[in-house]
Amino acid sequence: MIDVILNTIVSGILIGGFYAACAIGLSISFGMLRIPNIAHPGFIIAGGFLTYYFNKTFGLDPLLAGLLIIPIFFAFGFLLYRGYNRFFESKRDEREGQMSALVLFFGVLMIIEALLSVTFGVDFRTVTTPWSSIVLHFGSVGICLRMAVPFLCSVLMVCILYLYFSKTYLGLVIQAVAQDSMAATLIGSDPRFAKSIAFGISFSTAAYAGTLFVCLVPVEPSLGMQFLGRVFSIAILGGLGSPLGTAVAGLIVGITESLTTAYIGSSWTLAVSFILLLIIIAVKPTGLFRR
Amino acid sequence: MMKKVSFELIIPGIIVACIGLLIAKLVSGIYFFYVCYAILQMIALAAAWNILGGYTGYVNFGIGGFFAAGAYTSIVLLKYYEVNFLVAILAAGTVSGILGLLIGYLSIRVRGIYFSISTIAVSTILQMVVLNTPFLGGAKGFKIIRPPAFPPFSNYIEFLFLLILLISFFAVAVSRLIEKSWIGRSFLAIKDSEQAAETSGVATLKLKILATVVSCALMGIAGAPYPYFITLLEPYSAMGLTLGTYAFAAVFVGGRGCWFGPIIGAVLLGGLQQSVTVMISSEWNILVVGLVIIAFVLLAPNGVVGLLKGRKKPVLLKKKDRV
Amino acid sequence: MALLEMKKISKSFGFPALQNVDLSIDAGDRIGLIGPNGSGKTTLTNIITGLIACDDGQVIFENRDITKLSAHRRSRLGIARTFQIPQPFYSLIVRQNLYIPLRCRLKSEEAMFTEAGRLLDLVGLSDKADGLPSDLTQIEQRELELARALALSPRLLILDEVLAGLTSQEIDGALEILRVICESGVTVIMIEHIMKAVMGFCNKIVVLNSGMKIAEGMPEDIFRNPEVERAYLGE
Repeated sequence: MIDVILNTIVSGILIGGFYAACAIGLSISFGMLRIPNIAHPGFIIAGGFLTYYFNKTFGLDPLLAGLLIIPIFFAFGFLLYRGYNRFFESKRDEREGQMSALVLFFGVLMIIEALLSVTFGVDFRTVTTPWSSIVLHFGSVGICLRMAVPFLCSVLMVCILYLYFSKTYLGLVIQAVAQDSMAATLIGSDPRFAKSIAFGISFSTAAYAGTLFVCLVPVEPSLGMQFLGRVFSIAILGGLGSPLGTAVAGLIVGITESLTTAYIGSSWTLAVSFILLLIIIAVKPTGLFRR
Repeated sequence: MMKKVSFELIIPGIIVACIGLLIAKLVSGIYFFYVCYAILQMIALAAAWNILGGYTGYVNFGIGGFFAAGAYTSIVLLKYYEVNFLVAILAAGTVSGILGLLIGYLSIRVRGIYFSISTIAVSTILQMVVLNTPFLGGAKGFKIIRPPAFPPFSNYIEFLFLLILLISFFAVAVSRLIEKSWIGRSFLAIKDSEQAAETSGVATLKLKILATVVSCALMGIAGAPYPYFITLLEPYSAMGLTLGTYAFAAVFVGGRGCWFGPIIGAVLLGGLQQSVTVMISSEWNILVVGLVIIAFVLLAPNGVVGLLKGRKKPVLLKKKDRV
Repeated sequence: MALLEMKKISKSFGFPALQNVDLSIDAGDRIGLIGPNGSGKTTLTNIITGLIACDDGQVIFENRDITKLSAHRRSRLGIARTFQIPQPFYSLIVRQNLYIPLRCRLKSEEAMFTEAGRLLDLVGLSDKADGLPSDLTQIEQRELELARALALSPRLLILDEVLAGLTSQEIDGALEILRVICESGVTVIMIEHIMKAVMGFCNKIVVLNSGMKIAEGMPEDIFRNPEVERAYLGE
């Protein structure tokens, strides 16, 4: 009995770490830059499919392939912010701009799903590596490397981002810009450049989260919509813009889902994050860990 | 007020019903009615969405959920309790309206993306509930056998066509009534600045709840005849995002915050959808709608109506205000 | 009898924004509310109008406790305000911007039309009545703010920096309009940085600094007060 609970919690933690990697990019784009990028999970899935493609075509190790697609996504995010800034942020009416942007990203999410379906088909895809099937035993707890490796990579990612935003000059500038564009201009930094970098970083995390995704479980184009609830509840729960808060929130959601699957039934798992999300929004929209 | 309602709702309603009957009598092809049904349903959903999204500026992505809530309510009542169709329609509207009340209370606390995401949450949770409830057909869904046609109709689809025609008329008429009254004006004020509206004496909380409840109830009503149209009601297609996305895309194509925008948008988009689906697969279908949405948001934020009217003139101008 | 009374108002946003502020305003007063940036002027305004709730304290308007009353109810009782950054209803034409508050007291569209015309005349916007707020200049948008506030037929009018950015001549013109408004029996609270205007217009001045009321009195006395000088010029 205790073993089952222990195993459930351990797998919840491993999944939760991966969820944090999925949500952290949203925490940056929505939390710091106020860009309502609901297409974020779509880009995660796209990253997964690209990793799959590189793995199948060139036989690259997925973790390595993921590193290769990061620059592509970074450049894409960087340029996308330029366009976003021109179309929406320069508008007089901020609220109108946000609403249009929201609908725009919804369109983007649909397009990504459709393009992936057209290119790769609607089947589930996954990559297998030599380490995928290794299981390590710690007493009664078994840890599958298929889950542990993405978890470790996610932890690494969160740590790097935490250090980046709290220790490096550009990271601090981004934080400053996030709080007050005008003030940042005064210290001599171009807010548009800083925000472009941040949006590029957000996209890079989406790409690598996709890589981890496809290592972890089979991926299919329409999963993007399902992940919407997860990434948003984690990002909001984590206090938007705080890497460590996101990590803790990811673990909370991961463990809750894992327990739900074990004790209530897997058909309810998807509802967990959405219910959690509604509760957070109704009770404390600022999240548990305010910056 | 009563006089206004009878002028705007009842008399034109009777006229629309007569025209519908006439069409049903004159046209004999079944396919025609299927296409018309799909477009009219889109008009109804788009007009309903417009009341909340177009006027007050709260973007609801959960159209599928409220629509399906109406469809499931009506089929459960019709199948298990064999009630009158009219009762089923009213019940569908009530159930979705109550769900709308829930969303409305959320809209008090949050706005923008938070609100939009919670509508997705509510509709996903509804889908989970249906999937896990055998009474509601679970994942397999309900198989529905259409009753035989009754006079004056030669086919049941003609009856359904008339029904959805009246429903979409009702949805458009309600949104027109709202737009032309002080309520519509206050909705627009809420969209532009909630603070300024509140300090100008607008009861923003009450009006936001009113907008969500009316909007969602109309979506439920639009869903009521759907089970008989589709004949297989299952959670994936009924509650999926496609149906709802088309509806709100129609609003963006036609023009937000204007009662006839949804009609224009739904006719254009419905026509496009029919031709794309006939020619190529459903994935391409989604791709095309996605591109249409993006194109309109970027290039013509006020839709076709905005393009026709020229530079962002408010749609709410009344004749006597133009002077 | 005081028109508005605030007793021991406190508000914290993680840091104390207002601490134990008492304020008493008589009908017919022309109050100048001054203080350095971040001293709590806007927070106080938001608490009076009901846009935010205070953590502690009591707001009494015309002998009625309105502490728990929502903002739109307060505005119907006759508390009106303008916003520092104009917030016109962009989807409505200028005249219809006034219909929103006018509906609180007038029922027919005809009456609203006439009254809106009168108010737009007063602030000098009659020729823009059928235009969109987005076509107005910054200053015209502020005039629209004023007209919209007046449309409530307020007992108390709070002006949040309506004069900022005006030339000296324009200020004189605006003050002239405000005097007319006061003479019609409206009590005014004016938040302003332009001291010349405050001195010329107000009969009483309240000074806030770091969320506390540090002085209150006749304009001449206030500027001889050493504490006010310290707040503005530093130690």
